[in-house]
Amino acid sequence: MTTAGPPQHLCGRANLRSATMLCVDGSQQSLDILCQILYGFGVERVLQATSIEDAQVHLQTKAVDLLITDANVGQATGSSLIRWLRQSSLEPNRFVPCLLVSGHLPRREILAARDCGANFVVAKPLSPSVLLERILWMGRQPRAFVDCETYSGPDRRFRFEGVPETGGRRATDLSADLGNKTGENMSQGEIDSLLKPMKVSL
Amino acid sequence: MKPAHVRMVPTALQKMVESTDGMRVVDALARAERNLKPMRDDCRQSIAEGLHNLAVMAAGPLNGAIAADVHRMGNELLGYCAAAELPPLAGVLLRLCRMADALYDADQLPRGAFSPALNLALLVYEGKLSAADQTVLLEGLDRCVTHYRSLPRRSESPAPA
Repeated sequence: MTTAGPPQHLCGRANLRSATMLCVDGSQQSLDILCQILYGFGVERVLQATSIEDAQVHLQTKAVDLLITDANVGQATGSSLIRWLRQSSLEPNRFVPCLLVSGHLPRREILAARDCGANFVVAKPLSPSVLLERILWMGRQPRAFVDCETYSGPDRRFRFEGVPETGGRRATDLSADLGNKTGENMSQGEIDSLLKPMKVSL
Repeated sequence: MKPAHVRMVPTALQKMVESTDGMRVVDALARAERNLKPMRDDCRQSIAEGLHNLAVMAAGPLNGAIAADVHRMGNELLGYCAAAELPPLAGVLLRLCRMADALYDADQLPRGAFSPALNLALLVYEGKLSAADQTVLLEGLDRCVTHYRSLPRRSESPAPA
């Protein structure tokens, strides 16, 4: 008889002992839950803030490795904190991975969260496995950082869905219109040698 | 217009999660679950108080401001469900928040609009429903959400003469 091992993302090790994490939530009880989960992961330094202003003070005075903020912090929003951080000159903090946590977010607010520079939006109730999965994901699959007039944050095109329907804005974006063939087609072997092989489930 | 600057910026988190000398991931999860155990009763108490406050808030005439408060409180209670070991309640609270979002800018908010979700939340909290009954009643809440989304919006109301 064979038994299935743990899922792939739960294999391996992580050493978060030296990490400094900043958790922001208007509710102290929610902060306590988050902190206990992070302590369980071995994190020894968890900074807490119950307001955007407290969080800004932490970010201005200490280097953090991960920011986790609730979508609603009192009357303010976690998105506004992340946007402020991304557009600030606080290095290295402006580049840190940011997680936005929310129970229910209307679609317009999910788009706002993406456009403020959050790496991920995580749904409540926050379970240890979901949180650790996202932390490992952010660490193991780093994204390029984009700075332009209208946006600062991780590259939003990380799902390889091609140039947006609205048309490419980047110099490297190619036209979606296909032209005439200009050379010989590549063989499957040549294509494979250029692309990273991907696992597929059939 | 300033050109976009795209670059890879290595973060400390990358090194930490690729470490080979740290804690096993399965052990980290077990420790985190263990840490949450002592918080169970406090979280259940907060949920009970929150549901009571929501019921009081939603008992009278409703307006957009009350819908926004219901959304905020529902979201907060959702955060306690995992530590309170009440995952089925999360599904009810999520629908309560969807209702509040659908009603936020509705022209007329039906009286008692949140009652179906709040009554179901109480029954689920008290463990008085089978899983099959919960599924059926959650579908009922989904229909309420669909109906609330179809109500005329404030901005669509005819301008006063």
